[in-house]
Amino acid sequence: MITAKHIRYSVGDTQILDDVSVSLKPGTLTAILGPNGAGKSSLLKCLSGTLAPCKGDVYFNGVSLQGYPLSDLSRRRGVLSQTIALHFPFTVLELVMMGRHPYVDSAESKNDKQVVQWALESVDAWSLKDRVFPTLSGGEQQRVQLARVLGQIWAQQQACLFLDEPTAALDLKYQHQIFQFIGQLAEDYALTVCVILHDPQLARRYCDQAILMKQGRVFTAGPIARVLEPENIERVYEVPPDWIGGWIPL
Amino acid sequence: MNTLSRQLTRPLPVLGLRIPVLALLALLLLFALLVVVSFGAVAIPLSALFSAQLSDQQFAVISAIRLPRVLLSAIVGAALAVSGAAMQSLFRNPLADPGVIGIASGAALAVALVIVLAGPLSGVFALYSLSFAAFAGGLMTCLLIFIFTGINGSFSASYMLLAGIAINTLSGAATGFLSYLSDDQQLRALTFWTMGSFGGALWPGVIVAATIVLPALFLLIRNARALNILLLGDEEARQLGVDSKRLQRRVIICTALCVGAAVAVSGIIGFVGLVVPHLIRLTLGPDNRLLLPASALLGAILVVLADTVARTLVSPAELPVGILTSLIGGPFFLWLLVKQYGGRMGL
Repeated sequence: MITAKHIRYSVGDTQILDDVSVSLKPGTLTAILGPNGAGKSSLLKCLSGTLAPCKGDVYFNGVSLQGYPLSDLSRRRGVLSQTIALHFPFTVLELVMMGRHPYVDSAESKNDKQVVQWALESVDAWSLKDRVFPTLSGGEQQRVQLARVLGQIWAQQQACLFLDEPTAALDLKYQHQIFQFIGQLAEDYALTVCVILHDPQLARRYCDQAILMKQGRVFTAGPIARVLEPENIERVYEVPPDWIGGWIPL
Repeated sequence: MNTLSRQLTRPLPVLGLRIPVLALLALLLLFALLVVVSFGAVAIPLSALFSAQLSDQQFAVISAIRLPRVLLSAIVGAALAVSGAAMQSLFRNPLADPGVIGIASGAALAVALVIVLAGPLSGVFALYSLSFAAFAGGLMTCLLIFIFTGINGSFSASYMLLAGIAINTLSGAATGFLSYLSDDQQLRALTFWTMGSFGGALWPGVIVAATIVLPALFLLIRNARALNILLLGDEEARQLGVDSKRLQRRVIICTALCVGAAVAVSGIIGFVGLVVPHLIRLTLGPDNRLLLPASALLGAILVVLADTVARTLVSPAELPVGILTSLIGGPFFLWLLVKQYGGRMGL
């Protein structure tokens, strides 16, 4: 359970998040939607503890993230950022093993290796295991990074998963496969999932809750079907009704 | 394509090869140390060395001149190569090197200040004060570059190299000004020193360098796995439970200690920190758990060999070893730029 209470975040004079209060429930997928520059990524970073809000606080199971020990948090919260540049020729296997860092004392155990294999298989990337990561295509890199983050919280109960546009580089098949897998994980392990998405169709199909952002504020939040009403979309994205007429059939 | 090596997979499967590879390199180092001790103006055949049948003169040459020199070059080689490797992880940039980004010249400036302004110093105290000055100079430069390149948060190659050029120029000018102020003897000391040489190696130097470099090496290698994680980015490292700020501080201090000690006892020996980690990475991959110790051993081997060439090539005179490493390292650096970064640096 993640709760944000009245968080504000600003850089210099620019207010990026303005009095945002939201909560994410275990076992559910929550989508963050909104136009470019609405503060989606900043909200995700505040919720995941990557950024500290200027005002307000974020609570993980009732404990403020500010005081949460780094090592405890790293076993219960995985974050996939939008862009991760890695210029060093690690193999896919080595990279995904980095996700097991919070569990490894001196050398990786059999269990860690098994988890790495499962995580790679879950994103259909086990066949890439010996490839050098920077030589992979964009979509392959995204799947491998996702496997790293999945490996980090593998089989943990009540963990959280934060994903910033995890399907941006993925083809149609993987977009659906990966959301189906994550939905199953959420159900099985009471995982709290929070994901930034641009595709309302995908959000509507796989997410339970949604937070619709506009100009650093929560425009509306709640069950996905209610949040993605055509009139909300129209007002937040400022697009004429006939643009969205086609893609919102219930 | 943003890749260091264009190979799709790695030539050697190195998982599990860590111990054998390191053992092999350690054996090579031992062998190199034994062999080069026999080279020099006074001929000492290997057979005499192994059967311990040395004349008094030969024994004196080995114990008072060659052994400290060979050991010192090994320590300095290890220190430079490991600092290069650690810095490349710290800056997430395979072009980082204590010489290229100006840390060595910062350290050199501090030492020049001590030589010219502090007056005559002698003995162990002088060595420690030179080491400390070099450490302080290296640390200051390292922090400066770190702040510069960190401003836009991306540690980009162009930023780092440009900051390095500026710092190299500045400290070069300041060192030049100091040479202008100095008397003949100081000038000679300064000039030799910026060319890099093990010519004056004595036991106190070995002990001073070892007591500074070995603990720093040990600490760096202990943090190797965390350094791997740091390559993913500051935020990603924190998400994986690595306190990136603390790790970065620790790495900066350890590399400044290594470079400082190396510069203090041997002057500026360029490109070891760039070439050695690259050779290791190309063959064994970028995992710091293997890269750091293997770089230390290979760096030691290469500098021991380079110094032997430097002191025997024009014997009984000798070349400054720094000139030799730069002669090899310069073209290597250019080759690296052209082959692997052609068109992607955005400079």
